[in-house]
Amino acid sequence: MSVAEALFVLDDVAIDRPVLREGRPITSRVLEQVSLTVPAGGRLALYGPSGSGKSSLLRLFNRLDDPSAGRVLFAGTDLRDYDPIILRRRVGMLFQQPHLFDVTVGENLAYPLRWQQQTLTREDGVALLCEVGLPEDFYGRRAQQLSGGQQQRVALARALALSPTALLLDEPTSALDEESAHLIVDLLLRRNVETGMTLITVTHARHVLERLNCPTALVDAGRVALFPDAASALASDVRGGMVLEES
Amino acid sequence: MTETVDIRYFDLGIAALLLFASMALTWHLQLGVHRDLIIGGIRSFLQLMVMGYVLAYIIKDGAWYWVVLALMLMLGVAVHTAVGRTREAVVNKHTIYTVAIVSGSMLVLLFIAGAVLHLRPLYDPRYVLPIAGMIIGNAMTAATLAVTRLAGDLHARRREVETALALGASAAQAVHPLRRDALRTAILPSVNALLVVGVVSLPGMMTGQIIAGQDPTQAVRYQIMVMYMITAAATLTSIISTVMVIRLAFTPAHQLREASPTSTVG
Repeated sequence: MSVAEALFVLDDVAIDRPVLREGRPITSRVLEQVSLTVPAGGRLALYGPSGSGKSSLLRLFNRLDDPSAGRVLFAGTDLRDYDPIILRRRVGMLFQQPHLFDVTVGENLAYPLRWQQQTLTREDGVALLCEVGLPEDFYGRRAQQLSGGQQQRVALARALALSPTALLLDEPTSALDEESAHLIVDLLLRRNVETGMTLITVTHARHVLERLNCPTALVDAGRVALFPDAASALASDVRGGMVLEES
Repeated sequence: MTETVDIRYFDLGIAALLLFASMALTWHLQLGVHRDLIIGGIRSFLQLMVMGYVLAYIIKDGAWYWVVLALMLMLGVAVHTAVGRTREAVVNKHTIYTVAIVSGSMLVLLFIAGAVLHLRPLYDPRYVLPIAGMIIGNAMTAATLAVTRLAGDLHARRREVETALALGASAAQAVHPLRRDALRTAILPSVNALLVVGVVSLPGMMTGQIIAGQDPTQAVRYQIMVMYMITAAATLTSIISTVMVIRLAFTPAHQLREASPTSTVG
């Protein structure tokens, strides 16, 4: 695939993180030599044990962080030359534990639009709720009184309110039971297929990876190895741990 | 002017019995503050005695450089105290407090001395030093409240801020609820004081003037001016300090900086 069709390109990226060693702050290299390409409308899973740097990697795509080395391209443009606010309106993100603002569900859905001096009609808000499987009467309810699974769905609807080109998902289902998790993943897959919204998903859950069934980057021990699908990634994952070969 | 009652050292000793009584009570209740009370009692005695003689000298001498020196000293101690009280990891807290407390309090002081009291000379120590003390003290408290609250929230409410950033909010939009809470925390004590003064509390400046024989109707005018100026100093200083904390907490690319390392290796 040429760089032109790629939505995201990670070009020889490294991530450093400040840590404490014997009480003194030092810089530790978490990941290095990461090169990945994500096609427009495609899907990519970032799979690996906790603490491997998957989430740190994900945060580069909407520039919540910058890489310590290398560069990230979005639609052919270096992210450092891209307005970060416009970028984040095009590249949505769903966190592991969603934060809903302490207002109604409807106001939560309208927040991202309000920051751009736009409004969200009640009709559009209810349609978003419907898409994530929540009934209309949720629109006026206080967001922070909802259950964890309901909050995650509202957070997803809120991220979708901007009709993003791509959605970054950081363990989106880890706080949910398996049924709710599958519901969310299926919904994301439907969006991906029907509207071409690119999905980049961080997970350490095997069942999520299998359901996503897409090119998978194994992240472990400071390196990233790319596999064409979930099965081959899982096959390399012997003894429950992960043995990586240099990609 | 009517005769005032002079306080002798012997009388001060009697007054100190009140402090000893507080010490005995807190020791009995095992509050763990009796040591601080002893140190505080001694320090307040020494500091105020020295201040009394210093003020007497500066007022008598009347030279501008003594006033400037005294102001610098007061500002220095205020900044040092604010830095010491801030346990939160705040980048460049020394600079933040210096800029906020110095600019906030000196602007208000200049306004009071020039536009309200019409002092000639502008640095008249009999007015400038006591008033500066009140302004700087309140500016210091407000700045400390604003900075500690905001820095604490930037850590504790990181998820909220990053959620907003990830949804396309600017740093200013994302941090707005935290800044509002920090400023309210810093300014509310002044606002509350404005509401209850003269009903619940009779503030020190006014009571002092009344005891010294000043006409109470004049004394309250001074007190009203004092209330307005310390509210302004608290507001101005806390706004300046939060602006600086926020500028340092975010990158130009609207990213929330990591305050300090959170994980341990090796």
